Amino acid sequence: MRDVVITGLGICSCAGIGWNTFWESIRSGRAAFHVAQMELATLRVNLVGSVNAALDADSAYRSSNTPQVAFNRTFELLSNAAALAIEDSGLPSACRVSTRGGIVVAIGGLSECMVGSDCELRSCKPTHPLDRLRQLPNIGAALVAIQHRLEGPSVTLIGDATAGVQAILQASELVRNGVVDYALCGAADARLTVDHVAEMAKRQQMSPATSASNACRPFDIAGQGIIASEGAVLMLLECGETASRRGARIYAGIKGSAVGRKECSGWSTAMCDAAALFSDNVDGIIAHGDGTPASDAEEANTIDEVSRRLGSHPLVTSVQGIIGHCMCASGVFAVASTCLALLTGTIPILRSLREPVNASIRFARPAVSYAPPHRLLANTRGEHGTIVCVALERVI
Amino acid sequence: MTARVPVVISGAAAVSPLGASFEAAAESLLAGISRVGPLTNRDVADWPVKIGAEVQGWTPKMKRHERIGEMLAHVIEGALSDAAMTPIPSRTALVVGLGRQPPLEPSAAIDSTLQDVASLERLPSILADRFRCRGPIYACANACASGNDVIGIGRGLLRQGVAEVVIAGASDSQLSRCSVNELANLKVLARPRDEGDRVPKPFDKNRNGFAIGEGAAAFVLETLTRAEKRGARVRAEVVGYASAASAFSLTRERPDGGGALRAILGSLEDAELSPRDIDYVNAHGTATIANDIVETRAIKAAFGDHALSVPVSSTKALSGHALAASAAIELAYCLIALERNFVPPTVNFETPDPECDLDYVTNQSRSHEMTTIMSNAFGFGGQSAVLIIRRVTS
Repeated sequence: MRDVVITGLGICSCAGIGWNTFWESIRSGRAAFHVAQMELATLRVNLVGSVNAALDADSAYRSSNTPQVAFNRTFELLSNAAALAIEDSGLPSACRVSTRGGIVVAIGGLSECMVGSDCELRSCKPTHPLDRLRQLPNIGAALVAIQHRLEGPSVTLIGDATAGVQAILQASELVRNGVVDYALCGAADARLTVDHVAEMAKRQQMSPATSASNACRPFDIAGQGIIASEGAVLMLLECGETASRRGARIYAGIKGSAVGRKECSGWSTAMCDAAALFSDNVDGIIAHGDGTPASDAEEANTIDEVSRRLGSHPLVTSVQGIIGHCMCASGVFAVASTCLALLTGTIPILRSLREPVNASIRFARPAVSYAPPHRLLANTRGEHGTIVCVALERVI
Repeated sequence: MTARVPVVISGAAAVSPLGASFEAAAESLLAGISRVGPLTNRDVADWPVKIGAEVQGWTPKMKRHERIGEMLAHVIEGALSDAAMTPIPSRTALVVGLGRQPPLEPSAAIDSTLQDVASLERLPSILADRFRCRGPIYACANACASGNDVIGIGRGLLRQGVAEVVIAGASDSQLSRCSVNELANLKVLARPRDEGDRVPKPFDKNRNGFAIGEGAAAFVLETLTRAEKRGARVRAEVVGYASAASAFSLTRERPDGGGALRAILGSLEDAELSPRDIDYVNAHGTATIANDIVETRAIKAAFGDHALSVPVSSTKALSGHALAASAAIELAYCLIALERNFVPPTVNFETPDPECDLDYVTNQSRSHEMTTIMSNAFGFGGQSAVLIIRRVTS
């Protein structure tokens, strides 16, 4: 069994393109939300986390993505994040044996496929042979595989917020078992459409905030709900030994994960199982923390229970107050933030936390001091009460 | 490597145009009765292609999900019943293969409740709740290869120890005007040349595409040790699996077989078998001009001189092409073939193609003692996934 490490990060988010810009925004604690360009007022939704503003600041972006733009926005973000991750990894082309490279990604439902807005309802006929392909989630991975000559296993997942994390874990197993030498993995979701936000609003509490500074306050009793967002994160995974040998920058090592359902204390068991993968105490948790009071209170109470069971008090934060809920990519953003926290030795502060939903928890506030973290957990919660907890550690 | 713990199929169920039970499907497979024909369950007057293979004679028990979900729920229930697994263990994972989000019919679209449960993204979680699966949930969307990939992913979860039991399955129903229009635009749908012409014609010189089908299949996977301990009937062991991307074109495979060849070779390597150990190849065999030649080349390249002697057949002329569910349904057909020792036929075969020169078991099924079967699945985007199953003798 091989150690698996993350050596490349490609991020397209409302907080910036590329991990440096993204992390700068996260550390600054400034929310990256903007007034929605589409008509969402009837849903009492005013702000979204759109990548557009970040794209406008990156002129190189669109010119390098013409074929993907022709397909759809999700594939465009995926493709760009993939290119950034490959470049960031510094993996020399000489080291890339195409049949030893794989790809595992999660794709948010393609906006063109949204129920209620499909061409079937408009009774129109597809006019281009590629219309079919625009609707198939795996075409995104296929485009990236063609671009970067990844001829090993290719898997595309769909689903809720946990799907992106499952993609990372699946890719991690491919590397761990020696099926591939390197794998691109992550998620892309770009469904900031009226239809989709309306669907989200039916099931989740959306923040009605009109000011970015006041929107989405994870773990605060005044939290009013989530901010819908979009983005993509792709990571390059490699065997730890190979990465060390070539002198690659290693963001983090993937120790493993645990999955739990809400019932039967499944969440706390999953978090304890993930924490048990470390040989020492957990230093911090990048929680799901989406800013909805009920969800945050449940997660906070679970973390509280886990802290008691483990006899430690990890620092807890969430990045959704800065970038919103990127749907099926939201878990991947939590994992990426965890990697950057380990790399930089900084746990980002929990933005806008005034009165926490659980006073026993050690939240990451400006005044709290801590040592650079070595072992972190990243939580992701799915719509139907599934929690996936990933254990990541600093690799020296 | 993760411990090579033997993983077996201890429960299976399928609903397809060949029937809603293994017995009904076995009858059609053995007799070579094709269920491809004029579409009758829908108004197809303005569809560009009016033939396909529909699931007939099956009524969903519950109207909770739209058709894809209904069929999937039905086969999961059937597979659990077949495995005599009640209640299911708490660490049961659900891995499902799904395709394109189908559009709702205009009349249904106004029902907001139905819309809410019709999203394929939420379907796995809804089903996990319904069947009380508390392990990992995966929804794989690897186009027509999804049905094989869910078995491979499921086997991996068991070997990693993150699940005690895995329910793996796939479901698809794209019999809508929109999907048929899209596929017709890609020029992959079969059209009879004249009245009386029977299509599709896998591996035939005059093949011109597939007939769209629908259906679902699900399987209960567990380790051999666990199955034996509880005295379960073991249908087969999943001995080999490999996935590969062609990284070449979105609609075409490399002329030399590319990803398909690598997936075939990878599955043999994973199973630690040689081509001579394979008793039958259930081909992807879509009957499109490109697929059948490339698949033939891939089999020949992988099997060497054994390629001409191993029986190869495509069941898509019998049951249509159920897209994301096709590989799962064909795995169910492989279990039937394995258990009853016969090779299902490639029907509608009339004119040999010099470029497709394998033993395609044409038009009539063949009695054949079998131990090990390979099942191929390829999809748009250059997806390839190949499974190998083997009879388990106590």
